[in-house]
Amino acid sequence: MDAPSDSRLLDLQRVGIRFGGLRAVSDLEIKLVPGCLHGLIGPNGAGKTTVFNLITGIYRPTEGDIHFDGTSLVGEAPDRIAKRGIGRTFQNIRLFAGMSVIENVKVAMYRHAAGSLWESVLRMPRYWRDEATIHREATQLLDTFGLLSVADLGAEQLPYGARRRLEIARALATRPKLLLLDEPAAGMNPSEAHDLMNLVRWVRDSFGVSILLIEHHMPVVMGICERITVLDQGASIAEGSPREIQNDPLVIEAYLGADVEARG
Amino acid sequence: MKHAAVYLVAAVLIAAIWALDAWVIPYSDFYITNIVIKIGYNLLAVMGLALVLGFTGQFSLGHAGFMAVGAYAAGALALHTGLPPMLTTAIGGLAAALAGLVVGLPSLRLTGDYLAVVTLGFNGIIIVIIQNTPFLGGAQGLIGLPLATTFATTWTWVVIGGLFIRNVLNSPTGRVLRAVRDNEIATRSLGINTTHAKVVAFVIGAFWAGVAGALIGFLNSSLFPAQFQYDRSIELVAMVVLGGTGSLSGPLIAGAALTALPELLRPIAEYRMVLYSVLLIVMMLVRPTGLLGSRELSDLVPWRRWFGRAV
Repeated sequence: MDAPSDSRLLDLQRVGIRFGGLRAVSDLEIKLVPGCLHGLIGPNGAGKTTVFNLITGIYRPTEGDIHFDGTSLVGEAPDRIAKRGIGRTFQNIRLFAGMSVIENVKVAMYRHAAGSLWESVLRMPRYWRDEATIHREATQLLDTFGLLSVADLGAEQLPYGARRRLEIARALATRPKLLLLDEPAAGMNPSEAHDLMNLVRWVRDSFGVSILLIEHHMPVVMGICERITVLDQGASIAEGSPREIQNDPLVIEAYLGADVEARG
Repeated sequence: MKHAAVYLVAAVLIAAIWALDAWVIPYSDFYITNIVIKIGYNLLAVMGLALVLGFTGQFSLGHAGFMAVGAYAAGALALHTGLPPMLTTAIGGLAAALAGLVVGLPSLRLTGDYLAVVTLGFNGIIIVIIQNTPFLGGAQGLIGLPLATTFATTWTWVVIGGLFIRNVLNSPTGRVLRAVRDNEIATRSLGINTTHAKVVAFVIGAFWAGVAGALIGFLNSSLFPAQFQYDRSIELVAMVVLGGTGSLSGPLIAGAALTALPELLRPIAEYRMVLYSVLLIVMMLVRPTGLLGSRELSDLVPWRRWFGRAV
């Protein structure tokens, strides 16, 4: 059952992009309901990260339309789209390596500070108030992500799993309505991946944010996502609950190849 | 009251500067005083470039161009209108900041080598414009400027400039600048307009370069376009890189050293560009992060809790 269109937070309508002669994505449909934990899966090279780059404005779709919260995102710059309420993480983690853990989060709170640059330069009362608020909020956020004890370390000194968590914390610090997570459990063993997925679900529940998630670990995706879109060769071939997806013949074909007998 | 400590220090410094100016400078060697003033205006230019190159990661090769704008705006204004030189010095800084805005808005969409080429081109264009403007003295130079740059005025500007840049660095805007340097795509993903942030850094850097340029004119009573050629831009880049990109005190130390060094080594002063190249190569091999890397002098001494960072 499709949700009615006005209740969709994110709505990709027949989106496509060509790079020269190459059709990386075409006829892509994703309908994301507010509050949903939505998975985006597909074989390697299916175009999952390209979809994220289309939503966040790094690429501009050559076909179709992307609606977020009722208005189109097509043609908007990445920072404008982020401002509208879409936070993201990256497949190859992109932290601010030359800055401390807590500064990474504080940068993301830049837009919440009311003061101007002049007030900072002249150290007016508002600067101190803003800094105190930002510090308190950043500390709280790091605490909930178990990163408070390493707050003053350089971001590049963190172990791999902590970097992933910091990147999620940083994205949440912008107070997004929708969070895009690009393979948050990549490079983790099954137990770490399981913990991370619990964290993702907890983030959705306690921050009231909708989540679109790319992931390869099939058991965890099936375990936590409420809806899943399957991508194959740049097109969405199925969308539904985990159970529906697991039994969908097109999905099975995309992952395991076509039945030999059926091909004749 | 902890917040006030740094202003107390600044006030004491400025008082000390004026005391020195009144009681010591009149009896000290004119040549040495001149070098100390030279160090002062170079530090002003260097701290602006440290913000742009070191903290924001934007490779500008046209910093001397902004010095030229400030120098000629302040000089011509003082000469033709008779306004007090220290007022026109500030106006020169504003003129340079405006030039920074005009150059920065289109070119800061570029990155890396492209930005270096555009800023280098801007430096060249400014020189050619000055050479061909009779109002600015052309290639013969603008002469007869009031002699207003003293030890005290120069170093008062240095203290104010240092405080200004330090406060920018330790602010929400300063964090954004370092984020742009570390990862521009990630910064944009946080809803921050990175072009805007880079332009802000560029304008502030240009302002202090303009003030530095203006001080040069009122020190020598003359200005020549050749003083602001690209070799001065490269000199400033060398100071920032040697001092440490991501540090404010590092480039200031390197700036003072590289200003004093050619004076102390007068006989080989003509080879200073060779010296810089060798220094840069040695530094890359021995200490690729520069003198202080991304640390500050205050990180190395135990006063940090009183003064905060980036003193």
